Amino acid sequence: MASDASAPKRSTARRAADVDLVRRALAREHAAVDRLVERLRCVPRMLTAKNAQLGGPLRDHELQDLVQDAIYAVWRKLPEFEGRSALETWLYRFCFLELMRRLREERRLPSPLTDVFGDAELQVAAPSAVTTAADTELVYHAIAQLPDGEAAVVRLKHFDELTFAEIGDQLELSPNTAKTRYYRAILKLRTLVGAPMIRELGEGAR
Amino acid sequence: MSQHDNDTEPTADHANGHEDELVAALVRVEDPVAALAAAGLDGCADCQRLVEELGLVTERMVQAGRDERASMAMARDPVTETTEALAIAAARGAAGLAERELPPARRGVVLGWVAAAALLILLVTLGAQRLWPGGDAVETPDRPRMMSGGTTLRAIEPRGAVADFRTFRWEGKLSAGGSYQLRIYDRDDPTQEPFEETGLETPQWTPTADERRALPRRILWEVLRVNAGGEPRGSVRQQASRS
Repeated sequence: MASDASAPKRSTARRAADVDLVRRALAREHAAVDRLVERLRCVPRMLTAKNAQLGGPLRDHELQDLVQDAIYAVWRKLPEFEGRSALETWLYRFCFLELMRRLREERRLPSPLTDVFGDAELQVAAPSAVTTAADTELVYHAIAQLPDGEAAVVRLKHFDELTFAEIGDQLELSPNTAKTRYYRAILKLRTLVGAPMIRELGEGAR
Repeated sequence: MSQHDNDTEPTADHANGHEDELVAALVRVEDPVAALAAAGLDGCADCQRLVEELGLVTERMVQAGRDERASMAMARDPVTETTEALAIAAARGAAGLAERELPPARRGVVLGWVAAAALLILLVTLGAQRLWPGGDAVETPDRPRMMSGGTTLRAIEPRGAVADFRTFRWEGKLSAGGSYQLRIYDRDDPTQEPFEETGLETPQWTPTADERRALPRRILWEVLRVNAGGEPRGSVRQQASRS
């Protein structure tokens, strides 16, 4: 498949523009605040879509409440946005983790390895959707524990589907250094992700 | 560069001496074991086991990436107008809160007064909540209610189940030239445009008999405080239903 060689550069420029927008919005530039508010329209869409994908465990008014809480939480978190991913991707990851946290707090998220039909009152997702979401949540948390440079390589490799040459270009590394960082990251993730996975498999087999 | 980013440190004991081959095998995500064999490491049991385990981890990464891309693609579908309106109001409210922050030099001067005021408001709010059970408040503790000007915006009535929506009343303080906007959403039909009353200079609105009849049975009402320039400076929401 032919790849667009300029795509990573365009992506880098877009991310830099996102960082600039966030910085100016936080500095209270009215035009930037307005543009950022527009960009935040994706938050309710993301939460609604993910909630639906999980079988709709949150009812409409609960989802609306979460949307508002998530937006306030996003605003507080914005100073930490560094443009390592597109703003919408960063928002998606944040919203996804907020949704999962809320579902756990409200005990609406059945364990994928326990009885998902335990509560007839609750609409629950098909086990595969819950399992996938729980896996993704675990992966997000595990990647967040890596050193920044390694986390960036893993995200660019698996979430943005870049080649090592493109990753090197974006992070200003040689492709071989990007590969070595990736290797080190995966070794660490073996402990962070692999151990819980093995525990889960053991529990599921009982 | 942090010590974590040191690209020359050894990684795993059994991998020492074979790191280049292991890296080469692993980065070929599609079939690392075959890549390892191609590198002539069939005889290294530790290497084989390590690459198999790491292959499982990379599969999980691949799956998480696929899940993220699929979920983000689904998130392009529009949501109900009510949900979108609430999101925009929350974003503007959050932005208004950010605008309230003071430069460091002034922060120190007013910090004591702000802390005292916040404590007083907290005590009054907690006391009021104990004395006033019922009411289906939309706000959560995480959602800030202190808005520009340091005054609390608070929805008073209607809340919870009521006989009729005779008066909409809230508490707050306007800056010079500011006003309130009242929006009333139909909780049972989010596709309906909200009823809107703008330019209110007092913290209440009394509908006429016709307006009252036209209001839906279950509502979510929202008050936005705007400054003289029309910029939002906080909002509050409350749910109510007519019995």
